[in-house]
Amino acid sequence: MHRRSILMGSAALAVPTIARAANVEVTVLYSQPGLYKEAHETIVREFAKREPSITVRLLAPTRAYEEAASAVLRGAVTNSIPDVVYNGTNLLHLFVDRRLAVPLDPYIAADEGFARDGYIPAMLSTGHLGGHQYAVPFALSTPITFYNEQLVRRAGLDPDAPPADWPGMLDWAQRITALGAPAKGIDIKWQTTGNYLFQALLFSHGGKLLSEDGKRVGFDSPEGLRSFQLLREMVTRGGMADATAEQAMQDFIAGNIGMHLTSSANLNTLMAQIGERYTLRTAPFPVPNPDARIVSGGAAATLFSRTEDKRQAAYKYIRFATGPIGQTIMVNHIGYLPCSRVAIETPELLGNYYARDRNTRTSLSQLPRATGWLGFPGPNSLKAIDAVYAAMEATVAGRSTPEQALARSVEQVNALLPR
Amino acid sequence: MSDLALAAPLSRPLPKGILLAGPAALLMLLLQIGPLVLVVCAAFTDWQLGGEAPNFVGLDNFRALIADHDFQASVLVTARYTLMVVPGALLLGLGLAMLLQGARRGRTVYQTIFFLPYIATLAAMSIAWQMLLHPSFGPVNQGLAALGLPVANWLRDENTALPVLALIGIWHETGFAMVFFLAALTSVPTELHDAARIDGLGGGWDRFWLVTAPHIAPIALFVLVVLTAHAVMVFDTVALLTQGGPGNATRVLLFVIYQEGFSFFRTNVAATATVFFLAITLTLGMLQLRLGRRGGAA
Amino acid sequence: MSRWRHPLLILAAALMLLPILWAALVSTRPQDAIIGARLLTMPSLDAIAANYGRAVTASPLFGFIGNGIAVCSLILFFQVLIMVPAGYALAKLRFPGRETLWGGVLLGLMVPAPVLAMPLFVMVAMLGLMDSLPALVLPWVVSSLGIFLMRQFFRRVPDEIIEAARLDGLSELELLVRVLLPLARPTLGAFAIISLVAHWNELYWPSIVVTSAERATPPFGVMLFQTQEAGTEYGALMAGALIIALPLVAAFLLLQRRFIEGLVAMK
Repeated sequence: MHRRSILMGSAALAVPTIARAANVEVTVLYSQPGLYKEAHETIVREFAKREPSITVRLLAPTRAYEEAASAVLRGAVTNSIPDVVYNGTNLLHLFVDRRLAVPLDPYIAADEGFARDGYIPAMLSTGHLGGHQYAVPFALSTPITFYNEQLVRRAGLDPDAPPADWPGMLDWAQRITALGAPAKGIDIKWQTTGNYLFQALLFSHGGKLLSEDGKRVGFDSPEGLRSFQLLREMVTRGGMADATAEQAMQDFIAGNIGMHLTSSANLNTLMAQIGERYTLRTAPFPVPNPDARIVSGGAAATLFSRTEDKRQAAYKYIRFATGPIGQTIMVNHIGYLPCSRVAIETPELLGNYYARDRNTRTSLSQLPRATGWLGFPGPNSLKAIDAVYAAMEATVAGRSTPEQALARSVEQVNALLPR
Repeated sequence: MSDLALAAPLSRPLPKGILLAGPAALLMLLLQIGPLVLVVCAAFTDWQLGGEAPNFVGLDNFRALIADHDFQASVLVTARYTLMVVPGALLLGLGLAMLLQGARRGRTVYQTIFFLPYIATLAAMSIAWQMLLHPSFGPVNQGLAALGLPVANWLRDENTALPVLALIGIWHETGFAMVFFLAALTSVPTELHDAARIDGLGGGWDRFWLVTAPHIAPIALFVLVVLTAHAVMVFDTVALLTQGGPGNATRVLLFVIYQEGFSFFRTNVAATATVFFLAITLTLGMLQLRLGRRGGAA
Repeated sequence: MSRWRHPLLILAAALMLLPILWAALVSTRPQDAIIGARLLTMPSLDAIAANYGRAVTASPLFGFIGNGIAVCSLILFFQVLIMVPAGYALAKLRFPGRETLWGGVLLGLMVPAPVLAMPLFVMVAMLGLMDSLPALVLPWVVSSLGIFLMRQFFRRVPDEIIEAARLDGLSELELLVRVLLPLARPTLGAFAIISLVAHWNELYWPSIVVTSAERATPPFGVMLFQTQEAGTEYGALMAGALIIALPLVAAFLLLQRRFIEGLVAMK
């Protein structure tokens, strides 16, 4: 299909087909206003131009995903859940287990424009749970390697040929650390919410979070052990400090850390804070083999409306925000990954954006290998995430060996999973 | 704890006391006692926010919580934090008040400066502390290194994280304690000091113990109770600076309650932890008041 | 002692001010010069404009401050309305349930408000008050600390004053309003400061009941610059923190004299 016609198609979707007598109001809640505010407000303005019969009202944003989730659960008590909530895909269990989220499948089935807009299947899969589509990704990121070109050069390494696998990565890290304090080779933001980077290590090595029947952990495996071992090796060989996520990021910004492995979402902030200090470069996340899976996570739109007319209206809004135009606005403001292939490939939308800056293309290049950012099922879902976090922390601090950390987290998480 | 007695004889006209204290009693019943009872009830169920109707589960939550290592740790951590902050802020507050008491010039300025940490939004100030304490380019470590003293990653070290949080706690609360002591000292009649001087009680310490101390004892007790209440409910600094870590080094009780309730969404577990928490604070409070009474202070 | 007084006071003041001065310094630096900068980087006017500009425009900060003023003054108004008669009754009148009420007040001093947030939230929600001014005010209208302070104050008022007023034919209410309230001004001033500081900086409860920007309180506008995922905007955060502290500093300077006097009543 020709790109032009695709665009026309998605524009056609926006034309109001039936003149509604009553104006429908859709309430929307999102998190991290420091990051998303302008993007969301712009999208709502653009949507209003196209759908005058639907009023989208943005609620006071919450600071973190967990707080938005908290607002949803509180809303369940008072029958006042926002119509649409942008949330971390790993929190989906909370809403699905409590039967609060509305499956989107019937709306997608009735929506001709959906296929045309080129939603990338790997990304849609992040909003898939128990055979239903509960969320449409809005802004996703993948973990990538950020590195300091000058520091890498000082260590006698070639910044144009970053290592693609772990042995190469640890070797670079070791050589940068050898430059002496304050230089440190590597840092991975293992503290990221929802065990995001642990899942990055695990899934890229082919590991599983849960067993086939979903009743036990799936990382009680060589891949799980390897993930903990890599964490430890980054400390022992790569010069990684036992620091908070904030400290590590500041250290990287100051130019003391060679390579910083974290979500591609950090690109804009890092660029802004590094400024002219040094040249920021990016490379794909190191993986054992070229077709390894890359965990992809971030905010996805979930539908909660209780009445059918609100659901219809809210769905239209979701489609606009996650469609080519909404995604173009989002990427231009915050640099997350769009979930619409049309947006990526159309020059007037994002084509030119990606042509401009090579750093923005790294995360995009991992897109075909994307896999979902997962949560644990059951009422102890988030406590289980915390158990894995504690195991990672103990490994990085050297309080536990990788073997002990794995054994303990497996035992704890198994006890927290529903039978 | 309930104010049932208030609803007593209705045949006679209500005593004036009931008319005047009634609104307060009613509102306390509605806004404090009632919610308290609800929390206690929730602790015996499997209720989770947004979930389906709760079931009674007996003591299951209590058993689970007592066996939970994170929870056990949090009781100890809270106790250690309190034992650092309360004496620290109390003594510093008293010391500053005594210094200020005799100052002729600049009293207002000092007073304002010492009270500023209490006024400033603690959440935002925590971030300022975080930057000050940054391991590589925080002014604290830079200063120590320049003096040839050892540096540390203060908030990531199991041995220093809690003392550092306690230091921030003291910084925040000292001004609060100070103003109360200042008020108490102002009220010590000067004749008493003069009399003491005439009686030949020359030394500062003697005079402090014989003249000042008895006078400020009631306020000291009040400050002790309030500082303890503040310390056991420390939250902002922990949530923003350490999230309970490293390990369990700073996992204070209120943070556990918050985490269970609003991060893990285990409402029933949070309620159970709350019941423990209240039992501890109430015991402490009663103990302090009783001690105060025995000491003749209250 | 007196020789050391001012050096000690100056040292203490410097230590107390350090984090606040640091916050002020950070608020004068451009985003790319905050981390790893030398301690004495020259403040840049552009950065000051950028940080303070962002602090007041990224969210409707002045609107939040307006909300904060409304919420805090309403809370204070109701607290005073309730605590003055209650404190008086506890101090000077005998009535059934007095000891129970006093026990409740002492209990209230020790129960931290956040632990009651969940049931209070359910109550507020069932009353249909979510995201409203009453929701922000209601849970705090009765203050144990306030009743405690008032009782302690009234206990020190000589009974003769009260008797004399009664002989003049004043009703209990008139006695309170015309005679005792003016006497209690310093104590009320002291309580006002404590109450204002507590509710102005409160982040926990508003974050539970506020869902729209129209109702948000000052700390909201500041803390939104702190994000885990994409890094914190330190300059704007510190600028915001300083801005929202100003009204409280003003209130303290205004009430300072009263404040210390008022606490004298504590004994």
